[in-house]
Amino acid sequence: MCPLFLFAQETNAVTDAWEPSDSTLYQQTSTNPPKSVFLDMADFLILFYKKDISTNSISRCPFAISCSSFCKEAIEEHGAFGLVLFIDRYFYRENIDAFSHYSLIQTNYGVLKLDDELFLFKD
Amino acid sequence: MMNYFYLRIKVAILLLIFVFCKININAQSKADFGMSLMKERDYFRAISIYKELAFFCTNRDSIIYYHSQIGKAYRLSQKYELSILTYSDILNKYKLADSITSSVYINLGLNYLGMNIPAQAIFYFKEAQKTDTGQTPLFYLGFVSVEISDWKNAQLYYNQASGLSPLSKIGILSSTFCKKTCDADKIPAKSPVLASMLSAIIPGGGQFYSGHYVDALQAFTFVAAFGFTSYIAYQNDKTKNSNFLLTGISLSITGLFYSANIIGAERTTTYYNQRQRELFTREIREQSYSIEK
Repeated sequence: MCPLFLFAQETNAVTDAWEPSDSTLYQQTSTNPPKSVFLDMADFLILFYKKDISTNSISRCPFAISCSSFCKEAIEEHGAFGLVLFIDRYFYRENIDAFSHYSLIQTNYGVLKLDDELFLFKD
Repeated sequence: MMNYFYLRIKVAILLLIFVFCKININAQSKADFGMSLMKERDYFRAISIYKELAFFCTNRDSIIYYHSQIGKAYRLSQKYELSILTYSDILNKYKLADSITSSVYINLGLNYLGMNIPAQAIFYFKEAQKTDTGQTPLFYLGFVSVEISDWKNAQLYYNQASGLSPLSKIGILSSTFCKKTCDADKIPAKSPVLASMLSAIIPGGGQFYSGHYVDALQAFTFVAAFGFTSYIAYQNDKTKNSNFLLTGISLSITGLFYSANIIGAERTTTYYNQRQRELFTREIREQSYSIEK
């Protein structure tokens, strides 16, 4: 049995697709093409942070949507105004007091994190 | 010889009874297993069991029951779209009794409520009301009204629901919620416009007003620091008679931080109000979802 464990891979049951529609949903969200130079640049910088910086560090962000994802979503949704939203999130709201203000939600990995989706001005 | 013949018949009958019972026990135990999986919140496996049962079942009523359990499992695992598809299939494929139709409509309404589409939820609860004149549709209509902060309608629906059968579980809950919604005016609320104005006058003022003291301190520190930097840059550019590039850059950054402080104050106050409403309705929400039709 032991050699079998060598080939065992860590899987996350919660994020696995249940139905065919689930996997199409993931594909749709992951292939959003950037639309302008500003978006291209922001996308490149965020991707660089996510791939080369964030992966070498521990997950510290207390919010359900991590700061880099928040920035990406805000800029994609609102353009330059998204930068203002990101500054508010990163420089003002992310502090030790955050836990006493925001409600908790469970992420896909089963971790409880703070929910501040309202700050993204989504409809 | 005759005795031997009767003995064989008896054995055959006993065997037949045994086989019949075994088939029934197997069917019962699988449905029970599905139910126990539902209780354990293992919806994924419960769906598989119910799908299997529905596939091999020939009894129409049982098939409807298994499909409704599949829909319920999808709803409880927050796969609302699949749940809606399942319930819609039940509605389209079978001619249902009024009580079952009402249950299906209520589940459809709960799905839309889960998807945060209260208007559609109200539509389905009202459809359920057409086939079921009991308390349940009224109770859920009251619940949707609470979710959209329509306190007057919530009181009206809860009143009607408790009036139909005051001593039932739903009746008692309805009268409790009716009393609770009367206190909706006492939910603490703060003005987002005032918060924005305060932050425009003193950076961090709006955050302080909505109770986010550390946010306020950080906002004030950052805006003050960048403002001071801009002032120094201006003094520097002025003495050197340069093209004020440094001032322009530092002012742009200050402007960004200042805008973020105002927008943040507005959002923080809106969030504060929303959270206060959520805390107020939490008990109603939890108890409403715990009632399973």
